[in-house]
Amino acid sequence: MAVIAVINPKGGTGKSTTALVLATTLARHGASVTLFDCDPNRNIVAWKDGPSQCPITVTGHGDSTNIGRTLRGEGGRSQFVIADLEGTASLMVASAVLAADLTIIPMQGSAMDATQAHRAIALIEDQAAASGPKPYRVLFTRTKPGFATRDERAIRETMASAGIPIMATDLAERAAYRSMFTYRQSLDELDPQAVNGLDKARENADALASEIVEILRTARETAHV
Amino acid sequence: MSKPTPAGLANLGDFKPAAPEEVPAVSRTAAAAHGFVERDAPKPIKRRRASEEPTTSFTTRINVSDQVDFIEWCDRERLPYREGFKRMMDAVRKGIV
Repeated sequence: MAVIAVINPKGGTGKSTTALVLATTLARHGASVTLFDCDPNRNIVAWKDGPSQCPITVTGHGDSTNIGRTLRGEGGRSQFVIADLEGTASLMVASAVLAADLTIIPMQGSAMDATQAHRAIALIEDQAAASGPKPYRVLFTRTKPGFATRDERAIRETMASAGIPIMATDLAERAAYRSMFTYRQSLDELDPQAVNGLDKARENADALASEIVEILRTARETAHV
Repeated sequence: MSKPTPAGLANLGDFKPAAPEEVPAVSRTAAAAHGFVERDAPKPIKRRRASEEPTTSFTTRINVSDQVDFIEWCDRERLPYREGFKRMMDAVRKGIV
């Protein structure tokens, strides 16, 4: 069982897209997945109300007082529990981070996203000091494959030099990810005639999920040493 | 042609559902130090309720016994004087008094 929290106190960084892509990709590879939609916008709950047959369980959740217990409790039923948190600095986000085996911080290559990501990182590192290792990774989202703006390059370099762990895989800018919400389907269910770049999106989603699974495995082995 | 499954996703069987473990409670102070606070903090309830219509001040000389009885009644019923007076007038309007 693994609990993954997807957080960034800033809105619009790609949290819901990351959570949905990760959940549906893990399910495509045979895993049982519960996805908690803790964002007041309820984008993922709305997605599940659509025609998708993807076998993930989606739960709306808005109670900050018991989110940690709820996430760990769901681990009794699912192999992977993923929480898409609200885009604000709230006690619920802090509680989810405390319960998570891995925290993913999606951000775009902008100073505003980076500032808020740093707040999240400071919180995680404080919690790690108090309660043991809290693995986390920054994930760059909506990137253009093979191209990085100067801002993005500068932010990556600053973070890397500060020792902040950044995922090797980005969640690239793909029409297919937006189409998941438009048609309320998983990447596998989308019509290749209607959506461009599905193959590339699937490949990117697989690489992202694979890297996250490997991080979880490494963290688990380290904890058991 | 479909791409091969990445090695990391080939067998996810090592992630097994597990019995819930105890999760330590988040420290509100530590979270607040980074600006992570209760989003919908409970709001204090105001004991005095605002009137639904404009109010006015009303001063008159009354008998001490009436004043004592009125205040004791309001205390027993836990009513502000304004609400006590309103109840009396409601009774008058209904023809009870």
